[in-house]
Amino acid sequence: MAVLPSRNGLRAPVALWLPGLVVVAATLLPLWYLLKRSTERGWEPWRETLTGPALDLLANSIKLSMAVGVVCVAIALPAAWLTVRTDLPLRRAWAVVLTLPLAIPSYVMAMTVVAALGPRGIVQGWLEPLGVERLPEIYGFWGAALTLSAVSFPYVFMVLRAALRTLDPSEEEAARSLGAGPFRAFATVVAPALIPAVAAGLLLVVLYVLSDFGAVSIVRYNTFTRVIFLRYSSSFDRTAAAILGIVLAGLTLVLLAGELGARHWFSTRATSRRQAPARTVHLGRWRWPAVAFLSFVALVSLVLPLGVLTYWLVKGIRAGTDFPELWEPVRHSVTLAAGGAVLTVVLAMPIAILAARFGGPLARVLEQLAFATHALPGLVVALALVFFGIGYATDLYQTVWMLLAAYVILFLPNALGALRAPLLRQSRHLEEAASALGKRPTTVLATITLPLARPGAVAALALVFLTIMKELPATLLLSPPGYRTLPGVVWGASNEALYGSASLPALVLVGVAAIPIALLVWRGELEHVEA
Amino acid sequence: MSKPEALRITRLEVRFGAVRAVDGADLSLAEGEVLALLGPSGCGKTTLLRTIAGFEHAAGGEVWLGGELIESPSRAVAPHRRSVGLVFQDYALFPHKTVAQNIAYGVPRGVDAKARVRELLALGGLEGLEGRYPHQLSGGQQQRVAVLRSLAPKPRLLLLDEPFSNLDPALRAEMRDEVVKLLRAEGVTAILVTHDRADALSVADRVAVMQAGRILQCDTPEGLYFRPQSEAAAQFGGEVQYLPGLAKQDVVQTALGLAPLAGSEREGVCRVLVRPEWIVPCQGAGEPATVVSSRLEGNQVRYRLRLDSGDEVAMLTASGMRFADGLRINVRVHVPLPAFGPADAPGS
Repeated sequence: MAVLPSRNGLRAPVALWLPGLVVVAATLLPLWYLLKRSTERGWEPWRETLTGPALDLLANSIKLSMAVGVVCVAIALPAAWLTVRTDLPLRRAWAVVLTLPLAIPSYVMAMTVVAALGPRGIVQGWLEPLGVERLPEIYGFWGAALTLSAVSFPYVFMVLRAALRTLDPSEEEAARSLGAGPFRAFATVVAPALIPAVAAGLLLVVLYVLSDFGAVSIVRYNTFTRVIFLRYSSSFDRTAAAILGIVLAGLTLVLLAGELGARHWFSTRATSRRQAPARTVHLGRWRWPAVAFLSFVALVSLVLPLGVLTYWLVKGIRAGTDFPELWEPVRHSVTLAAGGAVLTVVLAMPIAILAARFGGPLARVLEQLAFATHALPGLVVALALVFFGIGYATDLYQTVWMLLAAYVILFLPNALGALRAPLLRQSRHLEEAASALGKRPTTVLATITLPLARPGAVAALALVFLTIMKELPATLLLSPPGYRTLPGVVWGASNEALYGSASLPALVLVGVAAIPIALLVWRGELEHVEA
Repeated sequence: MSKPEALRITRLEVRFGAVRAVDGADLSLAEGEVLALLGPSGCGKTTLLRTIAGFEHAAGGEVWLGGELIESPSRAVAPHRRSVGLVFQDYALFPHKTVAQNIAYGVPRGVDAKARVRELLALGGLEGLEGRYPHQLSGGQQQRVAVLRSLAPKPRLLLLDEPFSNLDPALRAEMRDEVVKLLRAEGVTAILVTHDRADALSVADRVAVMQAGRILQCDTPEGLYFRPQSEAAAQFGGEVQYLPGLAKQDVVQTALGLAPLAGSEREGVCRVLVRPEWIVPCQGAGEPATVVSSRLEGNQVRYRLRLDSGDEVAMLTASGMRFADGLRINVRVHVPLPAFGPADAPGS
């Protein structure tokens, strides 16, 4: 077969590239405005903002993200291997259990970590009769690292599971046939093949940690993101917040470049492989240490937060606590998440189809630009939209539309990732075949391409819905005044240390967020999704 | 009397950046003709096919379909308006449509799609499978659905891109005959791209040999096999070996004796093509040779012979008898031999 450029030989219909172009331009506009806002008063505010403490904050952010990255890989690599390649008891159930922490927002996790392990916390209460006066300090770096590791390791877990599944077992078998023992085969053949996936997962976690705002605020660890929020909410001149936001965006964009490289390497290594089931490794007497390890992970990431929330709830009910009215925030949050998910997926669709089915330079540029926003912390996007709204779109400012716009900008890449995978799996000749059968481009789009995109769209909707449900910074900054949302209610209660009254909305939030995860796991689609 | 021309390609050029995938190709097909496009991987044959279908574009030259200019640097008719069918190497069956829906997809409005689908299913021997989805079919069945789907709208020209390369060898010959039977039954003009000599020679009316973006020779299978016009074309027709020769008008003298020349007359020193199966053992008349070694290759025996001139040649004979090593035998050639000037040699 002749070597052909990997693209479809059809011209992309205007119905695709025009909306694609408009969407990408619109997502970049507020960021451009943030840049403009941060530079309009010259370089003097930059010098004031970026001297001294700001650099320490940057160091804190980097230190935290590195630590969380290492812990996540240390948990996710053995967990992924155990659930994919061994005869671990109930391994399908373990895969679900270790994915479920995705439903727990970082700020909820942080609340429960502080409550359980903090001074006068639940654990200390248990240990006091035994004479333990103090637990290790939970506020600061260690608390932040523990919390963020517990909520973000599932991302690495998912990526590594997918990588282990597509890994060609014949390479490992070849190593074994050449005389390598199981350990040497793993170390010399399997592990190097996993490096790109590890790198991709690591970067995902680093980006997540850099952009996290809720958890670090609760455990009072001063990162860049937390300080941006403090500067924003405590002063009239918000230039400093804009400048810090730009710096954070710059840092994450650098990481994104690395992620793109890793993704590219990953895709060139892992495509067109034989999809043979690998030989199952028999754990033997190692199965109980393995189960113990996974149980510990589940204990910290799932049992601890849910247990603490339930404990408070029961305690609150007994004490007759006034729980906040929940019907309104639930309605608002579900509406926002559903509307935002539909909007995001609809707007991502033309870009995903262009990139996955047509290719070409325009599609590539659009896709890369759309992925660029992947690296932008929710807080930075929210800030950009605040400035943009005040400056140019006063009619939209402080309406739900502005909030929906923030969700679209933030989660367009998530939707793209989920839409892409199933579109890429199909023969790239399908549209050409339809065209050679005499169908016009719009007919081809409606009868062939869009039906192919359906499974990806379901996964994308579920993923974006889940992510919007948990989203905190943009929701806080851009909600219309008096518009109550579930994350807002949980955040408000936890800020006043009213953990009892925060427990019910937090449990409801986790429950609603768990629905799309259950859907994805049930459909077996989580492994294909690039988180 | 010749049939009307269905397709004419003149000096076609297709470029990918600096690479000329098709580099001045000429080709023409008569109505109802089945042509095989034979060439090695990367010779530009798939690109040529995709350009005729409208998925790649000409940087030079023209493609005419039934008297209509469909492709040139200044004019490109959209693929869906060309009425050119294309069967893909990976079949490209629509995964979300049943067999019947796949076949009915291209049937134009105003035609009874159900009747056409029934007719084609019967033709392809696929009755009873109309409700299946592509992933529920075997490779051979998928292939037949792909061909039937392309035939459904009655295209002016059908292009098949390596249609048999994804089938296992046992199925391959069977499918080849069956697909060509389908093409003949529908009377469709077709180009079949392949890198397999047996595919090309056994089913096509004519074979076009393509190398480095050009058509080297376009001829009947017999013409390509017995009268190749260049050494490059010769190797697509079958196994090649050469002996030095001296030509005089319509005969040529080689270490295998005097033989008639295939093709036009020539004079002087030349390289003479002697395919191993053209050499036959004989009684009496012929040139003496010594058997150096022999090997059974299933339905044939391959010998190495040393001629008294010192040249070594390969000879293929039907299995059944076997000459012992070291035996002296007489051999001759039984067909006119093609000869090439030294300038035609590969690499010069």
